[in-house]
Amino acid sequence: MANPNPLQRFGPEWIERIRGGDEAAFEALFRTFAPWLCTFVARYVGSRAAAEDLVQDLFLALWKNRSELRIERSVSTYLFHAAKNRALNYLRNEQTRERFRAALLERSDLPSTIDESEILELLEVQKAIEDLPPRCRLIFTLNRQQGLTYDEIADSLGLSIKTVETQMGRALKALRAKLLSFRHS
Amino acid sequence: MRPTFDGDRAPSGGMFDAKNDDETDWVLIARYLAAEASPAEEAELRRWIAGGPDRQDELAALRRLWDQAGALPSSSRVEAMWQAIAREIRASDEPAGARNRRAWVAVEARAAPPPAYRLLARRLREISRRPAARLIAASLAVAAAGVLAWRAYPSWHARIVAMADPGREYRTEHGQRAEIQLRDGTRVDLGPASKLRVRFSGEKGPREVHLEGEAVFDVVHDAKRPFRVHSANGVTEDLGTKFAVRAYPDDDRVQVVVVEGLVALRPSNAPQRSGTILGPGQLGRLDLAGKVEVTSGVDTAAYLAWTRGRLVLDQAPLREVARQLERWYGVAIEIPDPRVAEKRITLDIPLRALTEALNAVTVPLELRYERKADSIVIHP
Repeated sequence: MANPNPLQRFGPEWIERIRGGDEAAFEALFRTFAPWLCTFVARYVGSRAAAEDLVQDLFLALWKNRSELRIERSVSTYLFHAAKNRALNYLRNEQTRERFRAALLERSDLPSTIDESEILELLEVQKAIEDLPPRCRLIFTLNRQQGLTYDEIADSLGLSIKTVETQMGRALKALRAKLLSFRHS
Repeated sequence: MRPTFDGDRAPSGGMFDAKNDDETDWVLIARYLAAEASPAEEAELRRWIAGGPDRQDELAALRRLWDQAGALPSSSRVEAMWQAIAREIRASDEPAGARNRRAWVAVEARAAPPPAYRLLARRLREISRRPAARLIAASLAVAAAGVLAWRAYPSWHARIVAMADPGREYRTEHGQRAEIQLRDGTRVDLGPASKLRVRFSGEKGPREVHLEGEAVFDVVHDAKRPFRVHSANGVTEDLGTKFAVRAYPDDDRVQVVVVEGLVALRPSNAPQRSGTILGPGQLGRLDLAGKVEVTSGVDTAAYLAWTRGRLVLDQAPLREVARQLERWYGVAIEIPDPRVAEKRITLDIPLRALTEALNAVTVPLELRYERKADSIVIHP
């Protein structure tokens, strides 16, 4: 059975609450969307740190202008459009233009938004990783999120390469079992 | 000998149907996706793909899953981001211009700052050695400008955001924090009364920093350029991480807490590839004799609470609390009665006015404090 869509609660009443200055509602919106906005913006600007700054600015501006907040379409679409605009403005900035001119050309094929279904998929992946057994999860996240090689992981944790390989295989198998069958059904 | 996975229930509609498929080599596929496969292994994978009708599609689906697993942001960053936003919006009665943390703004403290604060402003401009310019938010523009910018909190705690060139020394006074971004993208949150000296050897060599005091490091991992924090008698080496190091001159040990990833902690005179590995949620204490004691499952948020403007201590003796308060408020705190000094208290307070902090400590323990000319004395 599919998980309930966590994004669906951000409907018109939620926006109304934020317009009225409800900080808790604003925080919930931030915590749900910020990670995906960062990933999305980072694809444009090439740096996680810059992406985080831009996303923070986006939310701060949203809060500052909350009394005029008007979201016609889905909240996701609104946020991703706003994020994309900030990313493009950032790239157009004089000081960064030179460095990123080449990058900008390469990135013209980037998707204009991440839609809700992709966010939901990423949330599922995150949950599935959290459900891995602890050592398996540690090894998997060191490789996938910290970018360590098998050798580096083996060295750091004092394990054999074989163990690292086995755990990576197990992680892949577990994730596949949880995620791909769901998607194909 | 490749492992087999018979006996697994095939998911409905799934392609790896245990009944039709002889074996699925997850280890091999993982190695391939992780770019660890040798040419021979890649050839083997191609043979496997050719062996079944849907395997190419399956591999593509697995590749997508793999990429998604690598694209997830870390939850600790979200927390840090939210704390920064929360601070801004709670103080949001400021006019919009003053809040722009990307502009170089002259400090306008709302409470009267202590004289030391103004001296510090001058001192930091001297350290900077470059004309004040607009501070650029992007970490990638770091190399272009070494700029200092100010932002005053409502209290007199100042936060300096510095874009650093390696080879510099950064110093904070009591009650002050600095956020420093190094050229390699690593971020350092420097605590009060601390010194950080950055020594990178060019673009290729190891990245060494020297710390006296306390800092949180969010390191951009590079296996070819190890990141090492030298402090007191210890060296903490990054293995892909976010971690906090505390080593004040008046501490009797180097303390390291790991939030994400791994570090290796060893005495300075121990060989390079040695050391105690610390993982997320672990606290390592290196004593003067070079021995490392490890505690697991610590509340890392408590150890990093100061980066969010809070002081969090769990059943800490008063003498330890007093030391922390001294670093944050720049006042000397005396506890003449040794029994009082050993009383324990649990605290979770914002780092705001000193009187607030003193009350939070003395009231629950039924103590009182007295302000003298140069110090604060705590009595029963």
